[in-house]
Amino acid sequence: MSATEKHLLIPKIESGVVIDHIPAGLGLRIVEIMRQWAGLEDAMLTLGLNLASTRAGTKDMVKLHDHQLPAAVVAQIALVSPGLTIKRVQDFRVVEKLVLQPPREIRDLAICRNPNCVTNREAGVRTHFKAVDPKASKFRCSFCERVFRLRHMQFTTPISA
Amino acid sequence: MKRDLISINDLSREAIEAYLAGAAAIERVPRRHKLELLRGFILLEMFFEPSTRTKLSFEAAMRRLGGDVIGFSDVSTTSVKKGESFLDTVRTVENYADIMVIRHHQEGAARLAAVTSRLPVLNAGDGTNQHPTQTLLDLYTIKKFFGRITGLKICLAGDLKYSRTVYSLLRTLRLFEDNEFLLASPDALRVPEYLKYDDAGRRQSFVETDDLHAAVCNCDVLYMTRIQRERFPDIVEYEKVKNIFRLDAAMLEGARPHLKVLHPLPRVDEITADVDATGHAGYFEQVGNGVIMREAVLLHHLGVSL
Repeated sequence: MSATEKHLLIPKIESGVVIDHIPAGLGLRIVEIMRQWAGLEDAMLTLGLNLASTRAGTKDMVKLHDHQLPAAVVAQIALVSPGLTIKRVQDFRVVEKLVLQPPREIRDLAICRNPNCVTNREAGVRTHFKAVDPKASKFRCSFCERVFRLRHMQFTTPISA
Repeated sequence: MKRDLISINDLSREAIEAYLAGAAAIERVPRRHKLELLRGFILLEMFFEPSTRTKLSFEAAMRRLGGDVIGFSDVSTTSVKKGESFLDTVRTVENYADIMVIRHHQEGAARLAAVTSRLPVLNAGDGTNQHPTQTLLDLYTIKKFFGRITGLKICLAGDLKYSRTVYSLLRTLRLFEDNEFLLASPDALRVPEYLKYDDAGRRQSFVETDDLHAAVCNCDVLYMTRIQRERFPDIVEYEKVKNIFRLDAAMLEGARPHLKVLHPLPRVDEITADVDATGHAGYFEQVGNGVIMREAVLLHHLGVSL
């Protein structure tokens, strides 16, 4: 597919956010996260799946029109797929670019998988996990101290930003 | 800033050495002088699940230092029974004391209390997670017996799967150089996988065996734990391993002369009574050291120096 054809498929946006380099298959998950946040549930989105990528072979891409991503949404997206790129667009131009780094800590966004952890028994406790390895692939619950692999963790979806 | 004691994992080697030095110092203070140290302070004991020795040990430590003790050990007599949340209980009772000690069946409960309360919080056991004063008194006991906590061969034996004591001790002794570890347990009760990672997330490898007799002959410290019947779905399997993981005086004949046997107690039948008279038994001195260490902990966390 030529660059021109690609642009025809996913047109440039005038303002908003482009989430690029999403590993193919995770695009719908990113959309799902975004749409569960108050203010974004009705936002206009453009979604591309299995697009050609020189870096990874195929990729997904999401374009959010006329809205910005709250920091907490960015943090949640980083948990699903660290390494992707977030570009803020104004007047058809990229004004800010951010490559998501794996988080060192996860606050409020995950549920502890230990059923006897106090965070699952006591109402209203804010969860907190800290990365225990340099790659941030494993996290320790700050309360019960169990260690979980990031890919096995269960995430919450906050009601609002 | 208030000082909490929630997890042995929060403590550096230097912090642990400070607790050991504190215990050694308080042990040298004459009893009549001790009675002035915490006069006017109140310890609040919140025991949401049963405990005899830990609770008594904290009480003894506080009273020997001249302080008072209030609290509960039966939630059926508290507002928790009426449905009060754990956090509301903490916020209420903190008004009655200067420091609180908590035992709770949920992992993380003491940490939650610590981030909620303005009082220093001491963890006396949160589910299967942490029991830091037990670990500190274990270390103090080893230090008293051997004069050091380095360069020792330590065998941890029995239930290594469900015993919070064992893993905390293992993790802590690894901070001190040249210690070697032997883990002796039935296959079904080996150290769980998630506990084999160090603070940096690296998986640790240990020598593991199911042969207690061979392990006994090859260590300086034998730390025994109780194998609990309720951990086994098959009672036949329990009866089998219970007898294998029973230490008696005859088994100690090939042991190193200076070997010390420790146990967090209560023991049931994993150490027979004839071991008590062998000179290897260290578990009753270990209990006594528990009071001394808790005296040191109370002083430190109330900001009182000798």
